[in-house]
Amino acid sequence: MPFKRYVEIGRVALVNYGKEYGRLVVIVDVIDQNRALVDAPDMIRGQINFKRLSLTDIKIDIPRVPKKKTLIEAMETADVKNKWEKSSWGRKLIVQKRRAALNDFDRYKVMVAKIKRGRAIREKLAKLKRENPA
Amino acid sequence: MKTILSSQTMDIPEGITVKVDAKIVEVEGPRGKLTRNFKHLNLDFALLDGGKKLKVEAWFGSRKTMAAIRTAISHIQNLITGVTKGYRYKMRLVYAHFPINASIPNNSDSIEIRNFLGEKKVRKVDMLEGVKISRSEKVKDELILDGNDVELVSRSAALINQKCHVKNKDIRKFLDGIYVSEKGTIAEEAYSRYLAVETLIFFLVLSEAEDDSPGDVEEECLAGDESADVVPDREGPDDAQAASRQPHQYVTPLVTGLPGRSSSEWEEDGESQGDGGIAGN
Repeated sequence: MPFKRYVEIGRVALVNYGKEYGRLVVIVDVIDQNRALVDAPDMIRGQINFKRLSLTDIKIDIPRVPKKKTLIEAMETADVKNKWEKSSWGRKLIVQKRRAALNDFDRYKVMVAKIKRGRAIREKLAKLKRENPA
Repeated sequence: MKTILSSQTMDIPEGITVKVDAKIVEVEGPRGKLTRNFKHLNLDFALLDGGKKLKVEAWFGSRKTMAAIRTAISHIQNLITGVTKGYRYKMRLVYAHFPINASIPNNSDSIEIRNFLGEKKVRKVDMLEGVKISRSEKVKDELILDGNDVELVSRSAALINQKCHVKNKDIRKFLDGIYVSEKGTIAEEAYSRYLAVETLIFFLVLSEAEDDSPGDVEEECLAGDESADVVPDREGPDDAQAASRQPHQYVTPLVTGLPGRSSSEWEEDGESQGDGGIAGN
């Protein structure tokens, strides 16, 4: 019941508002009660309000305000990218992005695929019902 | 200012199970089960250490929410003592002229009060759930309220007290009423009785040990020293002599129910203490 994802140095968070929307960042320092210093391998270190962050389960081992090189090394050893993409939250985000990027032809293909899948499921279900009348 | 995190931990003694879910705390022990709802507080309750410790946390709390942490813990501690030792509140019937007539029906869950200040009105007070009331056998004019939940027991006592308020009179002079004389636990009585027995056994052993000569010399000294300066020993010289003659037949007088500290002070059936000085009598 109590909290498990703490704001701490090394906590990986997702930016959920603003210019950096959707980026995975690491909290490298806490500025005051409302703001943190965040960093990511491909962005300039900067401050951000906690309200713009969603904390994740992932935490890496870094000293306070590490050099970019140290940060990148730590993220490699902790394998943040893979852990994120395998987690259910990460997978959902990837699917959302893919869906948003479909063009009309892709959406047509999705529709056809859905119909085909639904048909197969109903056929199988009907067969099972016939075999086990219950 | 908001303090990021403040917390307090309490130990849960052996034999008690505590369950906490969504700010409802359930405590179970030898005397039964008690529940308490803390949903009005903004606190996190967590059981640690496999049920041996309870931690209460307040995140970003103001001064008042942080104060609530310790009160929550105190409430839970009261639940725990209620469920192990129980609560016993004793009340005395105090009257100057009209004896208060208190009768308790068989099921012990209500009390009827008659003749309070000579009034014809009969006051009936129902005890709250889980609270039993009885008259004390050994002490005159005493009521005993027993229960597990301290809130219910003390509130029942308050209800009885409030039914017997004096109206339209100078309450400094008309001191009649039913007052709470002692707030304690039920297990403590048993413990004090146990202590009394232990001290008796201790004296017995001592008196038997005084059979040898050093003890006799002591007695002679004491016997010869007839002056009033002799500080009376724990065992008076008579007891020791009697005991040394017949150690095994020393019959100890049974100490009847070690009275609570307060009952001797309440022994009055006439003028109460505050009588002389007030109203220039």
